[in-house]
Amino acid sequence: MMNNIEFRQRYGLWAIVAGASEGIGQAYAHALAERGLNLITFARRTDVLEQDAKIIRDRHGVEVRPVALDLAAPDLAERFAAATAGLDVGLLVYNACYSSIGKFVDVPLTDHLRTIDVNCRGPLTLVKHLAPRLIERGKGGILLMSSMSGFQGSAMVGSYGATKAFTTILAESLWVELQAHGVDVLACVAGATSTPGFVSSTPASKQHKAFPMQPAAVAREGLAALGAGPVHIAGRLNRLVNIFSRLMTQRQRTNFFSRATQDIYDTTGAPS
Amino acid sequence: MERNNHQCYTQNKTMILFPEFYRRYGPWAIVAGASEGLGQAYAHVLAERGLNLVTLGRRAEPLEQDAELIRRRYRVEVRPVALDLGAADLAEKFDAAIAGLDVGLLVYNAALWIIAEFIDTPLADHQRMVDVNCRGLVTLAHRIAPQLKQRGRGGIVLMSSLSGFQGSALLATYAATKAFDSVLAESLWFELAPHGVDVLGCTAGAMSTPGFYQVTPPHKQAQAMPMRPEAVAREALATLAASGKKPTHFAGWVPRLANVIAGLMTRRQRTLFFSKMNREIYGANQNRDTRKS
Repeated sequence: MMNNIEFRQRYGLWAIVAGASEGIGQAYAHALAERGLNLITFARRTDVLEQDAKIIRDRHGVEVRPVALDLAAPDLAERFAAATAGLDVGLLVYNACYSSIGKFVDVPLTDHLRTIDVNCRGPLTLVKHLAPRLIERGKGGILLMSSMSGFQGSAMVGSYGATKAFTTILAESLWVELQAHGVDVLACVAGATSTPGFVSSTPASKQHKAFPMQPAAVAREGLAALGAGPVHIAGRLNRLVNIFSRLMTQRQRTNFFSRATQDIYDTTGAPS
Repeated sequence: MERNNHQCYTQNKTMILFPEFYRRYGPWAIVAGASEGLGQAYAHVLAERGLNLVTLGRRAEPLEQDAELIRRRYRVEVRPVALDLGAADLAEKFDAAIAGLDVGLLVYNAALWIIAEFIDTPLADHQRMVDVNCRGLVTLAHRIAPQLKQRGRGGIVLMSSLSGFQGSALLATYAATKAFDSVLAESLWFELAPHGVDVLGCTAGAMSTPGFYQVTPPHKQAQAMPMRPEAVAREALATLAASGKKPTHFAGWVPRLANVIAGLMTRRQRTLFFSKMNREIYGANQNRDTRKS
C-alpha cells in the first residue's frame, strides 16, 4: 500500500466525493483529507456538508469545498464542470445512491426512475466529464461504490440491485479502457454498512442479521484497493458470501437473497 | 369491450395451435422494439400462436409494413405504435397505446448499443442507452406488472445479453445496462411468481440481425457465431412457458458454453478476455451504433 505522499501525488491535489453528507461518503471524505487531499464534496443538503467541511479543515488542514448538487439534476454536467473548473482533480469517489425498498409494483415509478438517474446516469455524467482530464494528467483514480445486491436479483430491492449491477460492470469496463492511460478504476462493493440510511431503513430488531460493517472500514478498504481493480468486495464476511454464492445457480442465488431480504425488510409477511 | 370483441374474433378462427400458451399469455402481447431483428421474430412467433400484438418501435414505417404482413399471414390483430422508448413521457404514451386491451405478455427487446471507447462516446449517447435499455424497460414493466398480477397469469420477457455478465472494452455503458436488465429480471421473477406471472431474463449472444450486420465487419461475422433471431425467440418463449422455473435463460449453446467457461474465471480474467475479443472483432470499426428500438 502506498504512503500518504505517494497517494497524494497520484490522486491529488483535489478529490471529489459525490454523496458525502453521511455514511460511507463522509468516511471517504475524512480518509482522503487524512491523506492530505483537498476535497470537493457533493450532496443535496449543504447544512451537513458545511458542518463536516469545517471539522475536516480543522482536523486535517486541507481545503474543502462543499457544493449542493442533486446528482439526478438534468443540468448535472454543467454544474459539475463549474464546481471543478480550474482545480487539479485526481480522484472521483462516486458514493451517491438512491434506493426505495419495497416490492417492485408497490414502489412508485418516479422512485424507480430516480434510482436509475442517481445511480446510473449520475456516474456516467461525472466520469464522462472527468476521465479525459485524468487521462491528460496521466494519473488518477475513479472509485464507484457498488453493492452486494448487484450480484443477483432480489425481492424488495429490484431496481436498486439492478443499478448496482450496472455500476460494477461499468467499473470493470472503465478499468480495462483507462488503465492504459494510468487511471485506476475500482468498483468497491459493500454489503450492509451501519450508515444513517441503513439504520433508518432497517427494522431495529433485524439490524444484527445483516452484520453491518463500519463506514470507515469500507472507505479504508476501498482506498487501499484503488490500484488493484476492477472490483473489491469490502469485508471478509462479504467476500465469503460471494464465494458461496458463486457456487449456486442463478435461481438458487435469487431465491436465497430474496428470502433473506424479505426476512429483514418485508413487514407485511406473506406476498400480497 | 376489447376482450369481448376478441373472443368473437377467435371463434371465427379455425384453430388455436397453442391453447395453453394463448390462455396464459393472450389475448394481447406487447413487443417493444419490434421493427426488425429479434423483436420482429418475437412478433411473428407470437402471432403464429394466435396472440394479438401491440408492436412498439421508433419508426412507424417498418412497423406498419410488418403489421400488414402479420395480419395476412396469421389473421391476428396488430396495432403498430411508433414511440420512443427513451422518451420522458413514455409512461403516458404507453398507457394510451394499450388502453382497454387485455394484455398478457410483455416482451422488452428494445435496446440501443454503441460500440466505442467510453470517452469517445458523447454523453448524450451514454444517457440514451440508459434511457432506452433501463428506464424504458422499468417503465413498461412497472405499468404492466399490476395488470398481470390482477389477472393472475401472464409473462414478462426481458432481453439481455452475454455482455451484461462482465465489463468489457468498447461496450462499457451497454454492458452495464444489460447487467441491470438481467438482475432486474431475477428480482421480478421472484416477486411475481406467487401471482402466476412468469418472468424471464433471456440472455442472447450474437444474432444475425440487421444491427449485427451493420456493426460487425464482414470478415469477423462468422467469429461471433450468430444465432438466428427466430430460434432465440422460440427458445425464450418455450422456457417462459415451462412455468417460469428459472429467472434466466441462455439462448443457444454458444452463450451457455461461454457462461460455463466464464464461471471458472475470476472477474478480472473475464473482463480482460471479453475486452480482447471485442477489440479483435470491433476494434477497426468503432463509433458505430445501431438502434433496435
